[in-house]
Amino acid sequence: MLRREQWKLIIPFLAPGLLIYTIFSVYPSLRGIYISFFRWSGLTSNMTFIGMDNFARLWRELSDPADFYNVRLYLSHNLFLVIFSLATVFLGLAAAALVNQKPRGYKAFRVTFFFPNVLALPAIAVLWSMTLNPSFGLVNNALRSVGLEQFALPWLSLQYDLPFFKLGLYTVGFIGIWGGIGWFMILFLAAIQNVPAEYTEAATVDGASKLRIFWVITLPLIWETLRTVLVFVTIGMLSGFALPYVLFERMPQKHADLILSYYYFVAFRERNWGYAAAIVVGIFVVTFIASALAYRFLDRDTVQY
Amino acid sequence: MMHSTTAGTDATPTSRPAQRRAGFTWSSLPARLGWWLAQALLWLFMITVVFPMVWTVFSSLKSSPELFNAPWGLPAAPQWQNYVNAWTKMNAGVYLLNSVLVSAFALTSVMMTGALVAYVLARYPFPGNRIIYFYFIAGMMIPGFLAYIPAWFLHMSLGLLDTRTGLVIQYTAFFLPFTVFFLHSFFRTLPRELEEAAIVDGASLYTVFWRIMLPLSKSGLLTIAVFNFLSVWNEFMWALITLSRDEIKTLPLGMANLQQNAKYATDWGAMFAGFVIMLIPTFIIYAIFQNRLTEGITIGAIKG
Repeated sequence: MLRREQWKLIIPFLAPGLLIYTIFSVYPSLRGIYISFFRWSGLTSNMTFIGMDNFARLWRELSDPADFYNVRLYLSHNLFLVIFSLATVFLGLAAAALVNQKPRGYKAFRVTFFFPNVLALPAIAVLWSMTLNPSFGLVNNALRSVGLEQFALPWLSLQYDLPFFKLGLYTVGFIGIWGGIGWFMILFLAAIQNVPAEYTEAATVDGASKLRIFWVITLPLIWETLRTVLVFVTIGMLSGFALPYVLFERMPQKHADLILSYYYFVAFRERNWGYAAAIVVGIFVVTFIASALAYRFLDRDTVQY
Repeated sequence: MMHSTTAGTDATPTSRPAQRRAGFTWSSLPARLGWWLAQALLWLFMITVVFPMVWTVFSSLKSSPELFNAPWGLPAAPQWQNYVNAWTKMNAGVYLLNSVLVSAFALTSVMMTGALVAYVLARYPFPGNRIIYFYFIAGMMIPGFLAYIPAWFLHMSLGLLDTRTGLVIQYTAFFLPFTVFFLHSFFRTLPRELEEAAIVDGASLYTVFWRIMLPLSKSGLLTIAVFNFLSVWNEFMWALITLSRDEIKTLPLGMANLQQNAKYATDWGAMFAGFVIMLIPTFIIYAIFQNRLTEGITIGAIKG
């Protein structure tokens, strides 16, 4: 039984956090779901209940490739970036496995690889748009000076065609990898170092190669971490948009827009708040299903030796 | 030898220097080549992080013509004027001040409210405890975008739109779930005996919290404080949506302005200088607290 005195501590300790969180985070989220069923300009308090109409419009725009804003294309950009973020996770895992072997300079790897993760997105965007600048940028100058003139491309161009997507979008994907790899490296490094050394030592004595030890012993033991990370990454990237927003600035810009740029446009330019809310709810539901599926799909019995 | 075996001392007891054979055999050649290639890739990646940074600092000390004519060279004569121009014309000072103010207040606010909630949830098994805990944790799964529009209207009706106070309050709400989650797992590990002994000695529950529990949690508090500081310092989307007056904008918005102006800019040197000014605080924090950050992620990985 709790004494009266304890309640006198519990209630005042909980109150401020609960209040701020409920008023400024929970209430707006629930309200967001609520207004997705309304037509609302935001300028008046006049909201019309229209049921599922906003979602029907979203579905219509998604299924129509000739649609002016090409929502389908935006969504495909998001899916494209999901591939890059999965690549980031696996490259981070590979980097962790390598750095765990303590090659020369491994401490420097840890410090420098993680650094991009503490930069604000606009900082990353500015850094890379300077580095990739066609006239004075680092990359193209380097390419020219070693005679690879033909590879000095307009890296951030949204006109330059490559298979499937424009060059600019590929560049965004690579900048995403650059910015994210260190986080996953540190995370997996911790998980790998948590694997008891006896297992790997025993395998080494038995003459197993390092690659095989990683594949057969380490990977199954860190599977749970990998699975959780993959699910969170899927959620994160489907709602990612800030990097292209800053890199390419103006919107809507057909060739690199993501689904959330469209949301931004609908909400703050078109002022159709109900529809904008429906877009986010739609993304949220799809992500939720996708991550639940990913979690199920990646389910394996946790190995216990 | 493929690489140094005297790789220094590492604080992790479970890992050990890799054992390797000294002799050369043809059968080990593919493995060795693979190892060399992998190492080369690690170095290459490190260069892509370090080199652009160094290049940016050098470029910030060059004149505009020099930037175009000698993008590779060291600055012929350091143009400190670039920094003066960035500070005055690009508002770097104003953005910096705003970021410092907002971060200081938001950090204080989220740490205080978060620590109180996490402490009570971790140490007092009152009815409803689990429900409130999951109520906070759910906030980590919900995308911020869902809340942006209604929160914008909420801020408008409360007169918080376009104010630093509004930012501080909203950031507190945004970063509270992770703070509670992290500190909850930390407070739970603290020993009960000290607490009980203090109460037997007649200390009040408040005294136990302030004088015993908080000092014992210093390292956990510091780790989450570094995370929260960086989250607030770098936050971009909410600031973009709610701030329109230039005199209260924060550094990430200043950076975005920089990016936007770059297309029409003529004073490139000052642009680089502005960028460097805006990055200096992040550099300092990273240099001091790098270990804290990796440790925080490590706790996340193992608690999984």
